[in-house]
Amino acid sequence: MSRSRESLPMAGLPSLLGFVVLVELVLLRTGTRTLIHIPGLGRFETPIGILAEVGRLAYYLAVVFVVATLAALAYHGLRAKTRRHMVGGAGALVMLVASAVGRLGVLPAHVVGWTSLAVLVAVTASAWQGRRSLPVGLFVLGSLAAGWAVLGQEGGGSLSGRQVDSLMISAEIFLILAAITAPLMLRERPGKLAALAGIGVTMLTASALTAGSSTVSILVLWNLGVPGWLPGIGYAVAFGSLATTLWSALESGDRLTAIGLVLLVGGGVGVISTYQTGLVLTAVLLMAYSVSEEPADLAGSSVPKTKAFIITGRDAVASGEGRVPLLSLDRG
Amino acid sequence: MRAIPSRPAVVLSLILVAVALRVTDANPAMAQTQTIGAWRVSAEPVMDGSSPEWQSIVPIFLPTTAQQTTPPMGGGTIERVGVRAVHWEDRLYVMLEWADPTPDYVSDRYEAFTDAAAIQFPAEAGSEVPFICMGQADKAVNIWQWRSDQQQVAPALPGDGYVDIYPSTDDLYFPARVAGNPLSQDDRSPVQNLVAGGFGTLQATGNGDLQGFGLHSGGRWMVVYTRPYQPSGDLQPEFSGDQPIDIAFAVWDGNKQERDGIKSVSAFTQLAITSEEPPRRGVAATDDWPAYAPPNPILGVSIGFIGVLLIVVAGVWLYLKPRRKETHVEEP
Repeated sequence: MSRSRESLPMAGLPSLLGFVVLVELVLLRTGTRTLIHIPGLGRFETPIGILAEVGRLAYYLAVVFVVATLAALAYHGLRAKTRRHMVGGAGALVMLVASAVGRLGVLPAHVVGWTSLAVLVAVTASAWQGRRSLPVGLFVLGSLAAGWAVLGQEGGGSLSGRQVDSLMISAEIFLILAAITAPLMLRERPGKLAALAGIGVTMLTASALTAGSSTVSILVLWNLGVPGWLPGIGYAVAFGSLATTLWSALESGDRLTAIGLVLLVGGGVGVISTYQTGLVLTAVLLMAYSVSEEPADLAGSSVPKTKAFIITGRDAVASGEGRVPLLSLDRG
Repeated sequence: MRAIPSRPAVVLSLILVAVALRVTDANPAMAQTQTIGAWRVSAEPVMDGSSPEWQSIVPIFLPTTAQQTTPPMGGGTIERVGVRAVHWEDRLYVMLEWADPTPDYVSDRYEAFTDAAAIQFPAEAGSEVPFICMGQADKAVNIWQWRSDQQQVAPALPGDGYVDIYPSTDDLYFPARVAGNPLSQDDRSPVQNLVAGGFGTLQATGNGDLQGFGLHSGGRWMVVYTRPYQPSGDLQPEFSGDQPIDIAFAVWDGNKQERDGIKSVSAFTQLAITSEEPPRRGVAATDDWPAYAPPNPILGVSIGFIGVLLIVVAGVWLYLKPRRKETHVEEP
């Protein structure tokens, strides 16, 4: 069987997660905050209310899907034999348990936060695969800086105001660098259309910034968890680079990278909630799998490469199976 | 052979779980934003925020940005605020601190505006926070706004000065007072107790036991607010140690023409009343202030825009440049 780069032991879940996160991000976190600018809002109250409700439902769907995806990743990671997959699986499990225990009030929020950051760093380090991992690594460094700024003030921590400023600026720098270097994750050189999309988004964002730079600050603070102190042009270039990468990934069929990008943007660099940290961890794991060189990497080196045991929805449909397994564990 | 649930069945189950969570408003995710501890103190706190007993408490710093949701929009000249909170004999005290080198005490001219600061709570603690800008119809907010101009006492008259007095104290001559304008009342306070359930619904309510006092020292404002746990009226939260309550902040710099919706706002964070004593620190306030001042955004955008243009032109040129044909030499 030829190798499918989208082969993951859970057909469909990442795609569904990426879709609902996108809907939640666009409708709930951005749409309801910008639609309100429409003059004569009263006339649009009902449709805006419906959109907001759809966004809220998408949020709950995303929370449930991210839990299911992390659980599946934990299950398969822990069954694998390679160290990086086991670390990934263990990280997903620790994240799920810490979030659940924290939600029940057993663990304080800052302990859950530090645990999340430790998991992110460990998983990213163990999944490191050269330059393709650089953007994710920079993003996680941003998360570490932003998380330190938030969590370092709690649980007996004592950061001065200027230290908090320095950490938040560092987080922004890492965030922008991660976005600018995002094309490194691609296997193929971006095509002309992808490059044009990036240029268009950069120009559009830069023009919007010239008209009102503080809009970017508030959207960046609310959506990504950093204050937006750096010159907005950095964000314009970053958005353009992300657009190019996303377009190119979709064009080349590298769906995991595309989904991972959406999840990173949805998760944000700041430590905001266990849902958003879960999105970032899922993205890190999916992207690590996306850049795997061998199919055995997805399941463990002990599995014979000649025996296909991972069935994607597309593969199953193509092979004429009526029922597509969500988790295919049949090792033959 | 083990039965594997079909993909539609699993996805449908996850969707049903998400819908159930939405209907019951049960959010499985846990907020990881900064939690402001309201610590227990053994003596009645003073209303002077510059006192050592306030300044020695470890603050929580929150980034703020311009208000960009509803006109009049703008502001954002204050980059961050520092927050400390304590409780004493079932009374909550919150101290808000921010850098402002130019105190504005009066708003006695059309173009003169006062410095001010506000704290916003949801009218009722719940799992879903209200819309940060004045709440929403089904989720009202309670706002405590302190204004420096309302705290000032009239200066002493010079020897030859005199005051015009209306000949009558009849309501006919005091329409603003009769209309209930809180700024026109004889017993007005520097802190207004306001409630809102969406844009355009902000109204003053009885102050009850809400008090506030601000002091400008060392290039920064320090404002202390206090209110008993039990509210004096409707749409005001009751405080307790049982669960954290959401809290957000806004500050106005009158010298920068900030007033009304032109202000610096934080995102919602949480305040938790705890029975622990406050963590103290030896960090000098000079290490906290002033906050980082970002570069001029318009200048940054302009320079960056030119830079991006150059990069784009260079990129397009490199992309379209004809490549040299590679020569392949067959090995003998």
